Amino acid sequence: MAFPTATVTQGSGLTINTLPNAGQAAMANSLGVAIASDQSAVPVTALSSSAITNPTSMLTRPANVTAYATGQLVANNTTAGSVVVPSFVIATSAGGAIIPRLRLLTNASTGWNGVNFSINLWRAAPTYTNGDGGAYSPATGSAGWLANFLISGMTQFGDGAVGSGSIATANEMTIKLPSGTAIFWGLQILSTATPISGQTFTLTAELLN
Amino acid sequence: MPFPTATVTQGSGLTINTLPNAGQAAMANSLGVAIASDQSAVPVTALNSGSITNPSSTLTRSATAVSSTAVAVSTTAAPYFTWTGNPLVNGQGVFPFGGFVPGNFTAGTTYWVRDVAGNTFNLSATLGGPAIVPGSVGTTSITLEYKPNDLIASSATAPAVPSFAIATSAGGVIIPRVRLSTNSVGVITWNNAMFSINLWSGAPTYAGGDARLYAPATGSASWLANFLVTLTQFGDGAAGFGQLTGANQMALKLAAGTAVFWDLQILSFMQPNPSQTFTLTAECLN
Repeated sequence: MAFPTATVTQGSGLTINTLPNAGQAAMANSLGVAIASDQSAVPVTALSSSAITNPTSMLTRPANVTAYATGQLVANNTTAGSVVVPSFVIATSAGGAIIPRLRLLTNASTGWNGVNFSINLWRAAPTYTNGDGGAYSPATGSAGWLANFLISGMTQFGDGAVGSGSIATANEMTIKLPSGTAIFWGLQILSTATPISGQTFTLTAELLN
Repeated sequence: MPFPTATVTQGSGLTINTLPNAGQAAMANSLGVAIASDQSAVPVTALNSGSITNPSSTLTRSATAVSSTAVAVSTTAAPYFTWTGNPLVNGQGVFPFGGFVPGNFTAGTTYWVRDVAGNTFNLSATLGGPAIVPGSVGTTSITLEYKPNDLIASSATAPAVPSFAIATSAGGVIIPRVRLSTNSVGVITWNNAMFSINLWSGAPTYAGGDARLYAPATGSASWLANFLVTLTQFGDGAAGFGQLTGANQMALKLAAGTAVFWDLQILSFMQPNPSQTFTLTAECLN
């Protein structure tokens, strides 16, 4: 740490020219301090509003109206090898996140009231044995599996259906990605429902980053 | 940052005149410090009470009459019921009949309004069902009634969607609970009245209005959350609270602004008052 410099001029006095630590600096260039022994409790926010993010991700299913049966995969393509696994991003690369809730929106204006879904989250995109409308059967990806959410009963509105769900088989979760910000998701329908052509499913993740 | 100033006086020594950072200042005008490497744990409070807010929002339903004791019943001239100053609209429910019960109707049974034409209307046994032809003429009383899955709103035809404000524009918020109160007093009890409350980031629109089937026409992309509330009747109103449905927790982030819109779907049979108010209080961690 640089020492302060000063000049003494006869008849004028002492002039301090530089300080060792003007402004915020790294610890090595800072003056050591100790918090008072009787320091009262410092208030901290248990939650920072800015720590909350709600990233979204959209899946667009194929241009057909083939009815779904319970347990099938909802995906962008009926061919397993062409399925693109959607993802959303957390705030920090290689960061941690708590996801207390997921919201799911679909743009079908009728017929999706009460439909249930299972949503798996992955830190890497899984591959599937089947495509859209086939039995939900991840072929690879188990090492990247993160969590499962259940959405019990979509609610149908006039311009779409909505639902929400929390993590299954646990009360809380704390996910840490080894790298990057992407969390992949897969949609398994747990009810029967007839889709519209090109129907979209938008996932909103409620994150504490 | 201003430097400290000092004076050296021969025979007297050094006098410091000013300090560079007396009092709290911005970082650029502060001295950098580092907490001691062996600093013991600093006590902190787990929660800043300042981050808790309880914004409230009041919905006031229409001031028009909700009942009449002078509804004329005809057996030949459809629509068969005449209420001078009729406030009813198609799709609303009514709870007849005080006193005279027309033939083909049953006291204590809810009927649906249809075929409204000025002061006249018909009644059906189901929403959208055929009009029932009264079997006898007379004068009866009819009261507007909320039915399960009705919207409670400011208007039967053009509802305004109420909203409350979170603390930070485009901010995040956790809402663990909402409270609901209504000013209904007197003979009309709202004890055990149950409600579904949806929250939205933008105001939805509805296919109907007050006392009609809850049917949001647009807004699904801005839907945020659902809460269920049950009221307890007190002497000066009824109050209750509810928690999030479908999940244990939530963490909402608004794309812009501070407004969170809410609406009220009743899940019970209840009789409203004119200008009855419903006040929602959101318990927010901002």
